[in-house]
Amino acid sequence: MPEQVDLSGRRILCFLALPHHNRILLPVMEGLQRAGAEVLYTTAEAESMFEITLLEAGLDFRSCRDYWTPELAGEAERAYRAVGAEWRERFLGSPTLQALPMGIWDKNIRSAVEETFLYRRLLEVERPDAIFALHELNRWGKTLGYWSHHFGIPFVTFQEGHYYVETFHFRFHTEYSTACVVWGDETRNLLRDAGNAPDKMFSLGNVDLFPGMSARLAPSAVEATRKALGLPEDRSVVLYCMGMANYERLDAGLLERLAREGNAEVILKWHPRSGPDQRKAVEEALAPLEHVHSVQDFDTYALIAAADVCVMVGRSSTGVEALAYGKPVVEVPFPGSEPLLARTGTSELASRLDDSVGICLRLLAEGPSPERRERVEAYLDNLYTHRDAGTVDRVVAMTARMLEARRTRPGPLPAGEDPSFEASVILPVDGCSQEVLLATLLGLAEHQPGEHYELVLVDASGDPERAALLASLEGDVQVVQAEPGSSYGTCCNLGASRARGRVLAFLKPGHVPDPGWLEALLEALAEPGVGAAAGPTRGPNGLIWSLGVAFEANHTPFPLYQMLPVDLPAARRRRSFRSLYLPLATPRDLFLRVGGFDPHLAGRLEDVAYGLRLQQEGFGSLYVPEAGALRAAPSWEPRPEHEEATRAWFYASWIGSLAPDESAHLAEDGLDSRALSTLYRDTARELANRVSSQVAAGVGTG
Amino acid sequence: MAPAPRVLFAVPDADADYSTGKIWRLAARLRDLAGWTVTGITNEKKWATSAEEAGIPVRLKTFQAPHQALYGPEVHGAVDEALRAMGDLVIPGAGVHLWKLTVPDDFRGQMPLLGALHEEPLQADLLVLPLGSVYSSSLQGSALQTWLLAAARRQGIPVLGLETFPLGNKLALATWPCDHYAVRSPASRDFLVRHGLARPEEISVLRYEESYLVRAGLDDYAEAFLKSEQAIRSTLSAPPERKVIALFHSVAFTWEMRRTLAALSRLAEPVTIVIHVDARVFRRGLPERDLVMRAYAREFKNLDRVTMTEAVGRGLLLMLSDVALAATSGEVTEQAALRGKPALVCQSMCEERWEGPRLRWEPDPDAVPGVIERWSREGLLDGRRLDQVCTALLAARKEAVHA
Repeated sequence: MPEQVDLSGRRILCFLALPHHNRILLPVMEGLQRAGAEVLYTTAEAESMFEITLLEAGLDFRSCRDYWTPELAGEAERAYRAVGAEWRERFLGSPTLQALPMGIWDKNIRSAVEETFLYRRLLEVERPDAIFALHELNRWGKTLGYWSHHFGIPFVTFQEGHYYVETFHFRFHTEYSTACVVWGDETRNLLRDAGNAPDKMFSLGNVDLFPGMSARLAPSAVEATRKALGLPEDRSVVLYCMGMANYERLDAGLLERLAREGNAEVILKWHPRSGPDQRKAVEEALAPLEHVHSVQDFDTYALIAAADVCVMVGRSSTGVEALAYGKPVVEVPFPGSEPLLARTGTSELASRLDDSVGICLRLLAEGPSPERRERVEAYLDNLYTHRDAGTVDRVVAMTARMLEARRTRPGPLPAGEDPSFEASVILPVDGCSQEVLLATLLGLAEHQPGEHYELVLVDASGDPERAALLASLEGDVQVVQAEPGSSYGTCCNLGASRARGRVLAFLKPGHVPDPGWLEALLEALAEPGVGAAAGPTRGPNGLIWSLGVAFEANHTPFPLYQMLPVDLPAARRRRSFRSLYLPLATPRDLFLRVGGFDPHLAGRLEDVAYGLRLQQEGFGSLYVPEAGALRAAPSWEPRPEHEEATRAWFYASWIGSLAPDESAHLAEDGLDSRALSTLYRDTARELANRVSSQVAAGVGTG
Repeated sequence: MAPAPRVLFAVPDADADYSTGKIWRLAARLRDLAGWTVTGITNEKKWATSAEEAGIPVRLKTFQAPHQALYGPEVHGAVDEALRAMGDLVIPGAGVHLWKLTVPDDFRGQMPLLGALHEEPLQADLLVLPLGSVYSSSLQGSALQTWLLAAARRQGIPVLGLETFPLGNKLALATWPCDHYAVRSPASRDFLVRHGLARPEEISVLRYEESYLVRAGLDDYAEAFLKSEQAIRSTLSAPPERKVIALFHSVAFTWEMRRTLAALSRLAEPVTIVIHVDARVFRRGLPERDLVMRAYAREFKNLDRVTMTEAVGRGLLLMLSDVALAATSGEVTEQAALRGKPALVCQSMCEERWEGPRLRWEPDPDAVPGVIERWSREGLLDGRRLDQVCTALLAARKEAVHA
């Protein structure tokens, strides 16, 4: 447990439904309780009888139905009738909706409506500080997520497991989640490709796999497993994990050969949901064999720990767990289905069950090849960002940070001298190259009339040479020293406190303002109600880098029209956004009064958060097409070690304020998602043609 | 002469199970009473056989989805289409989109009928479709209901929703949107109205003996009546269009009987009055029937249609009647209560009281018409036969088309 985590007085609401929820969520809840938090468990009514899960775990809990009131019932009834009547007409006109019987729809809709109001009431009564559920995607996750936005409560979900079906099935997992905890980059990338927000996914590792691993692998534990199964000490163990299927035949002679030639005990571990009918034929055939065993209710991890080779029959996430336990894996896909691990080069592939025997004999004799071991290691690194028992602690620390973010509201910044310039251009300097810095300084000197502004350079580079360079600059220049390693936002706030301009214009090294940039921003800020102004930023390729911030379906910000041509009609229109990207300008007094940029956001999202903060104060953000700038090179790139903390802080701070507006922006420009896709396709085609022409002409593409 | 209307009478397996197959007899009765062509359709072979045994030609219709996978591209496409179909529906008072709570998980995870409901024209002028029960229906039965209803909608075929499982559960969406409803009781009618599922004029309450055919369990009284209704009506000259008031006579309550008969002449609605007398009862050397003729001759002159029977038993007459009038409590009041029939016991100077909404103890014979009219206002005397309901529905549809 990280020492600084103190969650005393904090209340966590945890939704549990099925037994596997306990496997993930109970260790996390125990971690939160150790940090001082109070945990309130809740569940809902369903035909799977969720309450059994909590009763058998010995948990005190409240059903959402405990929050029933007659008024609530009336409200739900009215809502059900109203939405149901319209829905029913759509159902009768849609063969697709009819794919699910009307009665099941009815049950689902009625429950959804009731639970919507019940959970609202639960949250009003219990006022938790954070909500946990295993998944967002289901009805209860979505309901809790929806209300988490309404009430401003961080919502933490988990996408555990090994994904092996087509990507497009994994949508809708991060719409309301403040944080969706995943094992590692493989899951994060897969979910990203399915349309989920990478920003909201946190690769914190596996909650339950690693904590018990060393204990299960201990010789005494392996010996106990062997003893429980009656396995002789001098024989190897081959574990067959039998996926869900009807096994009409299994050649007992082959398994007998494996046992005999491999001097091995063969264990068939059945899937928990395999019924007696599915096992019957196989078990009858195996009954006479002395060294072949059939088990179902036995700890799978203990069996894996005791095994020398694991054979996965059908698709199962148990295969990766066996790899994590350091066991060689043989994969036997069901007929017609693709292998899961073999395609990654981490397991041996047997096309049929019969073929697995020879492979197992080879692995027992020789072990996996060094190449295979390397591939397994690389694969596991990608699958599990952390292969340790610290996932619960990381979740607790992230939760603590999110709760702190909810509680923290920045106070005003100290003001320096009274304004004596129209503007202060604030340029924090990190360890960027000298060329990048000079490009910005020269751009300023050449394109912005000097009488308008002073330049405030905030040096966080910690580089004496850089300090000397900055000190050598002449004119209305202030150089402010910042702690090396300070965030961009912290440097801006420091510079703002020293600034003497009525307006602050924030730049990064690598930004080169176009002629008229500052005048256009000053003119825009003179409009009533405008709290921030920014123009289009383009990349070296001439395409749009940013215009303004839009929010997509996952409630995450993104640069609207990025990578489209700068002459896009939508980019030539003055318009409002909820937030703007850097470089941007804002009145000094306002900036200082609202606390400046959030210093907890290290290297990104500080500009987005600033716009949202202004919105809270009643000020708008204006996009000004005339205030263009080139983003010649990146600087102040986010540091990986701060990245997750920044995201956790941002999304917890702004729960409920990030509602999607992408469609509204597109509509303003006479576009929809289809037309936008066409624009991107056309742009890509044009770029490709341009590159082809340049290559053909022997011109370097840079 | 116009061809007889064609009725498609659907019986999903759950509804047949619930009534233990009696529902097919309702279809046969509709055919017999209306003289129409009635064809059955069911999803269960056992019940198709049962229909044939009841003399109803029947079609066995089952549904097979071409896709079994939960993860194929067709599932992805179906989810997208479902999102589009439900896109703007939000839960009033909460603001959350309904699709978010129902499509990505519940719908995506199980769409057993994807691609299974192929369009096919129905050969029918009227569809009788059980309302079923969400809690008891099978997949194939639900599919049959959906398929039929969607087809009827496309073709403009009127649909009569038939209450089989008792209404009243809070799940109301699966109470199909029909053109008219035939329900088992006034309570069911009130439920549909209260929940905004139908207007009062779109609902008919079935007579008890027909509602019995869609209920669970057996009833000797109803069984006996269903076998002999035509004969009884003929014997008693009691046409189905007129309400029947059964008066169970007692020689010990002449004052009440006379005044009750006198009061019944004041009823605005024409009725058939049937007086039940006991062939075994003799007084003054005369059988009860003669006593009745002598005692109430003057009152009979003022009644439009009155008849007397000793051949039709108490139970059968009770089943025929819309209102039972008696001088004492006993079999009549007890059996009437079990079947939801209004009954009135008139005893001079007895305690005036209600035992529930359908049993009245009345000391004043002059008050009897008022009680009957009250029952009428409350809809307790609205029981109609299915053939009457269907005839009215088709006539209304025809009128609407011509208009």
